[in-house]
Amino acid sequence: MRAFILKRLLLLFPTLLGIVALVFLMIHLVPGDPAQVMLGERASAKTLEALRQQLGLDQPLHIQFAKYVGDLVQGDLGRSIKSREKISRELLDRFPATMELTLVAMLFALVLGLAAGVLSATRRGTLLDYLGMTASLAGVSMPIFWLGLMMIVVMSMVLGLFPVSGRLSAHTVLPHASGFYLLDSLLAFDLRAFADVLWHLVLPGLTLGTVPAAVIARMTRSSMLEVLKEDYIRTAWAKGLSERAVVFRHALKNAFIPILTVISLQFGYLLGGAVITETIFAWPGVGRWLLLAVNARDFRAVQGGVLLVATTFVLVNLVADLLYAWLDPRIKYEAEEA
Amino acid sequence: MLPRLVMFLVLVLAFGCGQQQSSTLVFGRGGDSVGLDPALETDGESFKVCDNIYETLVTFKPENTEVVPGLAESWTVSKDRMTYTFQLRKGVKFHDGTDFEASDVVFSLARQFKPDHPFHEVEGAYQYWNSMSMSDIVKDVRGIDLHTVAIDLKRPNAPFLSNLAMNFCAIVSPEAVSKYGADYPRHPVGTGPFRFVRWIKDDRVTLERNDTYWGTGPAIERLIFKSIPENMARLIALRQGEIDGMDNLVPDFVADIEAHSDLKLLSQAGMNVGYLAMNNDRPPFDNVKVRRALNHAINKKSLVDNLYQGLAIPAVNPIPPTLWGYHDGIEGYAYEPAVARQLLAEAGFPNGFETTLWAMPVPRPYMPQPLKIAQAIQADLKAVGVNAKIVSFEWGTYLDKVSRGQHDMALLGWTGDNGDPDNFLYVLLDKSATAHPANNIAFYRSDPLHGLLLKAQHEVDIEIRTDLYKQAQEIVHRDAPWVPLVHASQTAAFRKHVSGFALHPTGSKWFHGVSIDAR
Repeated sequence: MRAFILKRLLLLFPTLLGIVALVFLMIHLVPGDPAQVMLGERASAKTLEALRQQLGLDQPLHIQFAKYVGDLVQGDLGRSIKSREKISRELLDRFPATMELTLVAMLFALVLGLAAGVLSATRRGTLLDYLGMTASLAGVSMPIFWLGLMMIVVMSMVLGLFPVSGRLSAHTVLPHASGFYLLDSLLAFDLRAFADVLWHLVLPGLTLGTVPAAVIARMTRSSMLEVLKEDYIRTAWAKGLSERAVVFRHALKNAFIPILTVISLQFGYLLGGAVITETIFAWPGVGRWLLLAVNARDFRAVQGGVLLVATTFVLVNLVADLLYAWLDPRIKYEAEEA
Repeated sequence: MLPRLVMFLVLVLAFGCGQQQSSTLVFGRGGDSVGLDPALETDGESFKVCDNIYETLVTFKPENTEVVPGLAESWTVSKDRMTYTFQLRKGVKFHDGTDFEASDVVFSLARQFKPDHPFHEVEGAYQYWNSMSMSDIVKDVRGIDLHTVAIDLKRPNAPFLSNLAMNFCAIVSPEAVSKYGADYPRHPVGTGPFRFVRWIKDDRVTLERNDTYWGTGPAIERLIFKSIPENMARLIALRQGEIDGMDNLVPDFVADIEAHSDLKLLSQAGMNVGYLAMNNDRPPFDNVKVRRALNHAINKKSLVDNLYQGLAIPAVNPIPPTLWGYHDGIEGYAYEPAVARQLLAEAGFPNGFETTLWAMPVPRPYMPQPLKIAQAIQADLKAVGVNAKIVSFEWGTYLDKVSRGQHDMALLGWTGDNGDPDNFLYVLLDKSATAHPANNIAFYRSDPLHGLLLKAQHEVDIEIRTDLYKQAQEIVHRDAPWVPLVHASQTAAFRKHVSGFALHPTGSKWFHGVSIDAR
């Protein structure tokens, strides 16, 4: 097991190098001179030249790339061109916001997706099943920006139930601790702030969680249907086990491996979807920061941000792989090594 | 356990309610600040906050861009106009408790241009100092005594005083800059009416009243700048009372705000100009009759009504009317297609001609919908026989190409910096600005204008300068190198219970005199 984890962690490096190279090339092949875009109407020959030099844009591309990778190996993501701030610091400032939103969205997706999937599978062919699957089809096909805007229009503007944007009301003050506001407000024993944080999480959480919820529901249903046909389920029923025991302990646990794969992939989707959701809801996270960096041609920031998202994604997948073994003891990673 | 929890809850609620009562003003805006070191920043969202933390030696009159005393109580100009001597205000303290003295002024300015200054090498660059060509103007800055500072110039330059009123010349606390180093933009310390408390990136910047402020302190206790990038979301937040004010309204909101009894709208011609530059180097635009014809052919009022929804005024001169020195005696070229056709015929183009019209690919503050503006102009020109093909490039490429003069006609604009007419006329229309990369993208070269503008730079008396700039505007009007299109309005909306806020032509947002009426 340890060897497996180590191997997977080592594999992370070529993966990330590939990502870095790809992002680097994409950004540098986009037409237009970043220095010119940054300076806008105010560009003079002198300032243009100085900025190009400062950004290293006067160097050949392969030298720029080598230098970037060299710094990266030493753990240095460089400084943002726009804010002049260390990119690691910028990311650290915003990562908790994205993580909190993603986790809440995932929690919502899991609860709703699993419940809908299991219900549909066990009540196959009933009205409930049709309703659930129609809703999930709608959910899968939903453009997330549209959903977010509709949420704002209906829930905030018309009904006035939830705040339009941000993580916290302007008048709520939180001590600066972990950056995870739910946790921070609890640690400060400030329940009003906790409620405020939760209130702000509802709409973006729902928006971000809808697509994964729908995907998980569909996968759960099909996987469950397959498992429910198995002999050991019939045996379980025959033993006189309760429906709960049969469905959850015997069927769901065995049906869970493909579901887990979907969940871990959806996690990556959530991190990507966070760019849109965070932008719509003015969520001060990595996603929105990335979008702003793209708009400002802050290529160093884009590289750093994408790297963080990619690393998170790869790590989540690693965790999912490890969970397989826990779910199904027949899966042995040592065997793969041999 | 339970009673204790209930008691705790009650306490929490009581505490929470207590906070709400304090006079906090929340101002919603479209984006976060980049940093809060006034000399390093270049974006409006950073300056908006800096305006309230820092002060400058001289500042602007509330109603226009005339320069008045700030941290300097008074100043004198030497006979040769090469040395400005400032008498500093006494008893002023920085937010960190240190005294404001001449050495602080020297520090704040010298770090930007003296290569051997310990804080000259920074992350980024002192971009504004460079872009205002300050190193070509300022020779030295010296402390004479504790409360007197002298600035020596390389050549007489009157607009220099207006530059000193800009954010990049704000006075920072040398102690704080030394203490925080590269982190200083996150820990700003000035002498202004508000002091910095906390910054949550992409969310809010919180300021508090400076209780030791030398002047009349602010009426509000706390000032929060909250970023809500989505325009609609910002408006909803305002309607719901989550924020007390906002800026950068899109024109579609005007009716909505006017219909809402709790809200009020502020608008004023912004310190900008959107224009159509005709490339004087390329025929037929080397012919003044053609240029005047095009001035008569374009319906600016229709542009303002339909594409700015009224949030702009048609431009007559290159400078906006909120600047001192504006010539209100000039009558703009009227929209008269018949006159345009006649002028074209006189110029030898009775059947018009083919040309290209370049349009920016991105919205700019002075022109939120450049492609639609181009289409409207295209239609106007077609009506007088001129067939213009619309051309556009990616923004960086666009700027590069127009600054090399590769266009026939191009849309562009300018947002002023220091409120001095020089900052429009000299920067955009002087013959010296035609060298690559040109800001004078009409490639208009007028010796009489050049003479007037240089003279105005050397003159310090504002009356005489006003007269010179009026003559300059007459020349530009006569030669018609541009079609000056519009001055886009700057806007803000507040809840009715907020009073004392006024828009300033420079776009500065001062919350010093703002108060919140009891609800």
